Amino acid sequence: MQAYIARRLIAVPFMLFGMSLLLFWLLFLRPGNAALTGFGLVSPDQNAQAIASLEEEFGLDRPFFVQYGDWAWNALQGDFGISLKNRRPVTPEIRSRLPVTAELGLLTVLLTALIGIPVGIISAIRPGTFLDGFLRIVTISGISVPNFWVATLVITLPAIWWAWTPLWEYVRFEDDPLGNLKIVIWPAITLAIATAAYVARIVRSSMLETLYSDYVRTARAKGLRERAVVLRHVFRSSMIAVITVIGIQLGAVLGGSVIAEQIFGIPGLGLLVFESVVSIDYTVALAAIMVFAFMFTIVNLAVDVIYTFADPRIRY
Amino acid sequence: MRESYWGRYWKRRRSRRGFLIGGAALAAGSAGLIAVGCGDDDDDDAEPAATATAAATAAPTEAPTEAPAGGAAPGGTFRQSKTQVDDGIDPGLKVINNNEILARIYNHTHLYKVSTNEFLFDAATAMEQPDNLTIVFPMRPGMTFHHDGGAVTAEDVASTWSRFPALLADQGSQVNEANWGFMDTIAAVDESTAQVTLKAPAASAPVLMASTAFGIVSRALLEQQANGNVQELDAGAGPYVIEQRDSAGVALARYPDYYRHENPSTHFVEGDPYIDRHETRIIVDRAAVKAAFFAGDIDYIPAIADRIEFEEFTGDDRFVAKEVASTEARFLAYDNIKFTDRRAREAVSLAIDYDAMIATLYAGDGVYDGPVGQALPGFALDQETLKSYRTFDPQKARQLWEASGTEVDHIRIETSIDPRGSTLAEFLARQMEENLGVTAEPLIHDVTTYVARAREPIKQWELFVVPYNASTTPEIYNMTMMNPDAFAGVSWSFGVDQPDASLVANAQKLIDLTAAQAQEVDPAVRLEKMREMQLFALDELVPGINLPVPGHSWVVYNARVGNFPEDDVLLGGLLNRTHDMFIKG
Amino acid sequence: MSESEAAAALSAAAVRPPERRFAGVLRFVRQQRLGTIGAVLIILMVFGAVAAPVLRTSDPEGFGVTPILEGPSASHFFGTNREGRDVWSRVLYGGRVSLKIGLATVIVAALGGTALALIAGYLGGPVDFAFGRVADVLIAFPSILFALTLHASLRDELPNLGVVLAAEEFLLVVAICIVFTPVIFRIMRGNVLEQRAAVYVESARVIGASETRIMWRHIFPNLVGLLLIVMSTTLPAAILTESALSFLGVGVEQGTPSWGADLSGSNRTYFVRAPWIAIFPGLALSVTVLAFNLFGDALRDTLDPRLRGQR
Repeated sequence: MQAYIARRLIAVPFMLFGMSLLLFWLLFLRPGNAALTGFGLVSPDQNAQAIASLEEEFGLDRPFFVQYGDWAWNALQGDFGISLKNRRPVTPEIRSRLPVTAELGLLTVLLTALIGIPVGIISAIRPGTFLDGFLRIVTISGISVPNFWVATLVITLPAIWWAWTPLWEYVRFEDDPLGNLKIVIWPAITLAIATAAYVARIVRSSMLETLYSDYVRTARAKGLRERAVVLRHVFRSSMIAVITVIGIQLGAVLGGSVIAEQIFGIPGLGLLVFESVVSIDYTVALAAIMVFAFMFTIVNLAVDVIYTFADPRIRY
Repeated sequence: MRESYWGRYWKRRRSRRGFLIGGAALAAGSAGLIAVGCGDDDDDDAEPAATATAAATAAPTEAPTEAPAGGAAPGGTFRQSKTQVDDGIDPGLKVINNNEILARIYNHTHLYKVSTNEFLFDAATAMEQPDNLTIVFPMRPGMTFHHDGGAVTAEDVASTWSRFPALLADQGSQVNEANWGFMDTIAAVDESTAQVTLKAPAASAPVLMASTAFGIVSRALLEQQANGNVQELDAGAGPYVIEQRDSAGVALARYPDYYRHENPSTHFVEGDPYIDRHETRIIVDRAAVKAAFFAGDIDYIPAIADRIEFEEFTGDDRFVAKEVASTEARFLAYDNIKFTDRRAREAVSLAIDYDAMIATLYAGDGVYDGPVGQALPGFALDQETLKSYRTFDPQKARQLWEASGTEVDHIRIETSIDPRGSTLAEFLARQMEENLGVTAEPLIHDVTTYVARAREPIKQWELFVVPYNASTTPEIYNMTMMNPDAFAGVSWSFGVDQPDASLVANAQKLIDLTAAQAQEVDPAVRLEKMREMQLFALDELVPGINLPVPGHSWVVYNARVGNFPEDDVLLGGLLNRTHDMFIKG
Repeated sequence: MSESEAAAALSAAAVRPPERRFAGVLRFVRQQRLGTIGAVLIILMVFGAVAAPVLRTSDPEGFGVTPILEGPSASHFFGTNREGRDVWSRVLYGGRVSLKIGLATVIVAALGGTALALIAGYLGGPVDFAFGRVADVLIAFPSILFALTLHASLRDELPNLGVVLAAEEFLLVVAICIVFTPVIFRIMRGNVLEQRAAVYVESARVIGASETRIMWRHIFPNLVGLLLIVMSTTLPAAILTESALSFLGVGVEQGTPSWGADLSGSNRTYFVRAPWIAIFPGLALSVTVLAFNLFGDALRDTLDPRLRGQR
């Protein structure tokens, strides 16, 4: 098992290397625009000269691999360079926005677990009942509704009906935790609808599988009460599947943050990614997406490790 | 300034409408302008200033201090939103998304209040023009900078304003030459007198100098910077200091040592300014901005799209909704190097159903526009004349198009995500397809890419749509789009460096005509010259078409705001003119 | 049960006439109520998209062809928008974009993913390793972000492909395919490996079948069921991704009816006044995705009984 974990750990840097190389290449498909992004706004006669000086400043005239190597070396030391657009250092910008998105992500995952798991259990222990059927329809609807539509309705309809909207002055968590939660809870709920529904479906199916397995039958046979059977045996083994799924759903949450932060006015990394990608502010885009990918990779690694610890049957 | 050109011009006017020349200020609006590359400052003007009286031509219509009952000092927190974080706050370098900061943390020699045609004096106590080439500013005593409490002197003014050429050449400034190119030298005669020498007589100079770009930066602080700018610093002496400025938004608090103005005006009030805090939140989504406004979470809703949206707010006592004179502008530029044949340019113009455009895009409320925008009615051509240039004739369009032998068979119409531009580009694409028999597509890009697209040497488009806002002088209004020395040269391939002879001739002619009117200080003669310039551009259809604009603009704010500058707001006045504004209750 | 009875039952089974043509469909309808509802909704949606030119009440891309911002009525079922376009007509045409891009994506990604899985699973060794690592890298990006980046960098590079898929649509397909192909590849590869170890492949190899033949004639047919299931679950995901990208403004050409795009841009200005322009495109999108999800569930239950009741 240690060998497996070690192998996974060793793979992480290679993954990040591959991802950054791919991204770097993608963003460099438009080198001309990258140069112009820095200043569409120079004066006419200084246009060519200014572009040349920008290319020199950012080293855009060097060969691809030299540029990449330079970027990667600095990135390894935590320096993501400066924004092409506003010349601000990228690292502090990322650092200030990361906690915002991380909070949104964690809250969403928490809500996902709090809603998804109980719904899945209720559905699984009464299979075929009206309640089960109802919850199945609810959950399948949950994974079908696009989050940007829900978010739109959440801000629009209450404003029409009650002159109320879940938008107030954004306050940072460290300044006013409760006030901050009041804001972040809405995008989190919006994002959690789909992920919770997904988790509920997984919980239900994996629990149904184990409910009729031999060892559960044994547990029942030895006279354990049903509640104990469900909680001690069935639920515990299903948790493994759930952990995996929640880990995977984090990717969806991170992607969803691009949309939710835009609509709910949350100053996080998702908004930064969107703005920098569409405007090819490539130093910012690269850094922000790499941070996302890094979080995602680490979470998946953690999930795999938990998985191996949690399920004694798995041996690598 | 006694009897400056502008003073004389404005005095002749009676209608209040004409004063309302708009500016962008609203993030979207300024983004549009910038777009084209010059980023001028449509957002400036009208800012905290002082005393007064110098230019006070019109009697104030509102009581200067409509303080709430009870005698308590008016104040409160004013909340608004913007769509993007600023790119920096050096007033000589950046004009996008930062107006609400620049206008408040910096002070200015003087400001221009559009609605009453006043120059309001702040850092200077007057503006003297001994001759047509000299402007002298006596400085107000007692002003101090935020960062160290040091005094503001004429030296600071001179060093701040002398930076423009270098900022443009070395740092890609967004403040282009149209804004300051008239200045030759700026000198401090003594500690309290700044003197500007002009290259040539410049009729618009006093108004141009009232823009945010002319905010006074501390020379001492500037000299400490390695990169020669104050992009991230509060280097001002204005009424507010930055309390918070990050990805969530901006909070400004009152600067306790802000200097008093000896003789309060409609603008600079006793104990000014009233508002205690200004908060600006970043909200990207338009539906969210509206929801926040409806819920009372923000006090002002910028960029009302049209009368239809405006009507949502009328008849609701929570809000004040007012229809004001139009401050909109729309430019359709050719990539002139692809349209060197006049017949091709005319074909495009004839293929546009201008009246259908007004009927659908503006819901029936629209007017024609010309090279000098309709928001300057004294200068602009009348609707009759403009209408004769805005005819719709698909048959003739098709004939001319074929006769011109143009190689263009696919028209790409580039614009930005600004909804005013994207729907328009879509409309125009459809018109081209239906009436010219070509294929056409609208290309919508984010603002940065769109700017880059405009400036690329080889254009990847045939037509370019720029939605923007009016400004206070012809030079930085529609003419910025058209002047080869401003945007047109690099952005619309309309410059004297182009390979086509007829194009170069046209560009040179327009440059000459533009300069001739700008240097003319006699209003009547200037008007003639301006007319000549306009008719030339209209006859030759260069370098593009001033499309019809909405007939009105709209201002909507929360009724809890007192003394809201509704007649100045679209010029950036709200963001600037904060001294006598307060929150009721 | 006596021996003779058992024999009778056996022989009865043996002589039972071949199932009628639609028996499978009928059984599906009987056993999979929700799946049937899904199927019916899909048929309706496809019908609406195909027959849009007939069903529409006005030109979905015209300007001012209907009164602006009117509520739902007998002549404009879903109301009208700011450009004076009938929302019902736009919803019908929007279905074309979503279904077209969804289908194109799924077919390309499924075939591509399966082909790569067969190659990787069968050749093994360095090829398998390389493919696997590339897939790891691609999967590690949150899909929307990756599609956004792809779109931004490829936008100017692609040719116009004419009538079937506009350039923007093609770009969407490419971007979404690159996101989904590695996911499908991973699932299929696992199954290829499983099949490769199966006895029948062993026997095929023993009688001297070539590797290529084994791959295409023996393993691939066994993957078809799984492939159908994967496609049915990928399709709704692809449609959601397409609409999210269109919503973010990197989708179809300005003005083209699209469920995602109709919820964004200048339409957002009027949501408060005219909620119907926010509700109906979103509803159409949700119902379509729901229908595919319901049908996909049922299909899985039917095709792969081992998975019955899961998900």
